[in-house]
Amino acid sequence: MKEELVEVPKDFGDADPSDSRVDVPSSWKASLKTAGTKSVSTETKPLVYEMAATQTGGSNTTGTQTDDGSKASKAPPKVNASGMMEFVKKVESMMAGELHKAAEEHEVLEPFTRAAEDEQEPAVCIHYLSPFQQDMTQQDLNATSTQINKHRLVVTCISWSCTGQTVAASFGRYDVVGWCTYPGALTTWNLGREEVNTSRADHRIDTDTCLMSCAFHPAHPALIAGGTFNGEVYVWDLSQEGDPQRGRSDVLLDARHTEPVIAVTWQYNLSDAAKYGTKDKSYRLVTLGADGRVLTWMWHKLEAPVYGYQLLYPQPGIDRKFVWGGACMAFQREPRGVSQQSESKGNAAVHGGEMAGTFLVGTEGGKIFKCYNDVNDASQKDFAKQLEKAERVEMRTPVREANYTPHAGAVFGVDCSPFQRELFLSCSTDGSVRLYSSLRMQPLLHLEPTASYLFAVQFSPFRPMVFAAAGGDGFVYMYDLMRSQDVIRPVLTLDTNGMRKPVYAMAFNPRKHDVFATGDATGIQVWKLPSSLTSVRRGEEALLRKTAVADDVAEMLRKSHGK
Amino acid sequence: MSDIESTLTRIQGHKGVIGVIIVNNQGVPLRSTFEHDAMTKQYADLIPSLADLARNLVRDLDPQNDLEFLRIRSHKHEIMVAAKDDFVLLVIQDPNAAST
Repeated sequence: MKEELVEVPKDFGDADPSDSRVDVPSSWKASLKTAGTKSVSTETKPLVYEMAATQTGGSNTTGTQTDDGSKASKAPPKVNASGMMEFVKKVESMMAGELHKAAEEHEVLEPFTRAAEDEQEPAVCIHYLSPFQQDMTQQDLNATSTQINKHRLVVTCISWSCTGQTVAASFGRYDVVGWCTYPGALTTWNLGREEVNTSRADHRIDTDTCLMSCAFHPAHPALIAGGTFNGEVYVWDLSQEGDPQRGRSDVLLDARHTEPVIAVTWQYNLSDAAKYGTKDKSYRLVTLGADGRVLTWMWHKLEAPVYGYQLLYPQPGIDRKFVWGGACMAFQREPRGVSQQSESKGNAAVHGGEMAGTFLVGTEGGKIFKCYNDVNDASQKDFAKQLEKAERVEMRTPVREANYTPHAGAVFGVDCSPFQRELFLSCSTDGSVRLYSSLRMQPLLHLEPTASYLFAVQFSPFRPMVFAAAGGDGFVYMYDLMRSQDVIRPVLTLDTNGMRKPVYAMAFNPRKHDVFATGDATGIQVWKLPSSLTSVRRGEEALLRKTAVADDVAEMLRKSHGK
Repeated sequence: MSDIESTLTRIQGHKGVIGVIIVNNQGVPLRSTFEHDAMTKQYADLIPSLADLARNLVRDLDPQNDLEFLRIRSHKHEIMVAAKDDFVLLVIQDPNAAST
């Protein structure tokens, strides 16, 4: 038997046609058993919690404050008054004894303490002022001829203003023969400014001819007078806007200077002070010319002088009187303290005369004249009348005394002591400085600091025994008679320019003790002097008084220094 | 009180005296002839301690001894100090003015 393969037809009748899905079981897929799985869980330990609370207890407020100290000390503290009284009683007599002892001891010991300072500190040059350019290589191409010192002008005179802040220098030439064709200049610098321009002057006034002298007004800080080579007198007001010229003397008058005006000074005049009341008008201008004329002017009326003198004095051996040319002039000064009294009392008892002023004139011949300026109203009126009539004015001589031992050369510098009226210094081209008393013919001291000419001499306005002399070798010699040893020699020498060019002018500052100015060929040097030359010593004025009456000053000085 | 003033005036009248100060032991100035309080304060602050130093010096050297007076001389002034019984009297003198 054969089975017949009967093909059973596939019956897809079990297929459910509703969802039209046919599932065919996979023959190879099998479920995997993941081996080695473990389930682990962690848990933190239980946290411990705590609660706590704080709170401030009670509160307090406090405050601090500084006490106003001044209030406390104003009232003097009340102390055991009786205790203090007893104390003071006990101590008073002892204190008085000690005070006396101290004064005595000081007098004895002072010379020894002073001798310890043998070293002389030098003076320091704090400014070098020049209106001209110094260095020729750095010449500015646009510089005008006045900025280069084309005419080779030198400083002829230095003046400090009354406040001591401004220094003025007049420029001119000394070697002019005949008519002067060189211009001159007046230059001022204000040293009180923070920045001092050392190559340009604060004010610069050019004049037609050389300016030979200048002087600031003693009370007005901006008024300055100048005298030129031609004999003209100018007055400038530096505070004025525009043209500072306030006055100029008439060149056509007969009563004028015909030769250079060597010296210009301001003199206090009581009648002017009474008439005008203002300080600047109380001073008159007195000028000395090389022609031997001494003219007095009112600076605000410079058209004509108020009065004039001529230095007439007979040549020795000849009867006729000659006019002597003046080379320097100085008025005697009232020592401080005395003049204040007479001014306050308002009377003119200075010399017993109304306008008497004694002045000294040094001449080119070496003689020294003592002159009186004793003009009164009547003679002034006479003079004015003569001027009006344009007739030749007769000027009388003011010379009263001329027998002082003359110098061997022209006397270019004269100065009166501000502390002792009759003492004066003179310096000349013979290289000597002499101290004279106007009451005696022989000089009290004859010093020779140098072999070259001496052009100026001045007493220090603060120390009675200190004076300075300017030499033609470029050095300024300062003497201190308080410190002189066996031989009186300069305690300090200032080398102004190092080139041995002459120093023609110098001036102490009237207000500041230690400031000093010197002028040479090109400009002004302003120096600061060491304190040894500026602080007043004990007994200096007394020593000066003794000097004035001593017979042998050198001997007296030696004795007083205990040598 | 006026006695004190008159005494001070007497001392002040000596030649060259610049000023007189009375200080107590705490350094407080009790009387002074200076116009500027700054100067008085300076002297009153500085001088009593110096006087104490001087007194200690004297007593260290010799216990039976005591400071009688102290004088300080400088270039410009002389300071005289009298210290006794809790008070100090200072006198400043300028000998230059005294002997001219």
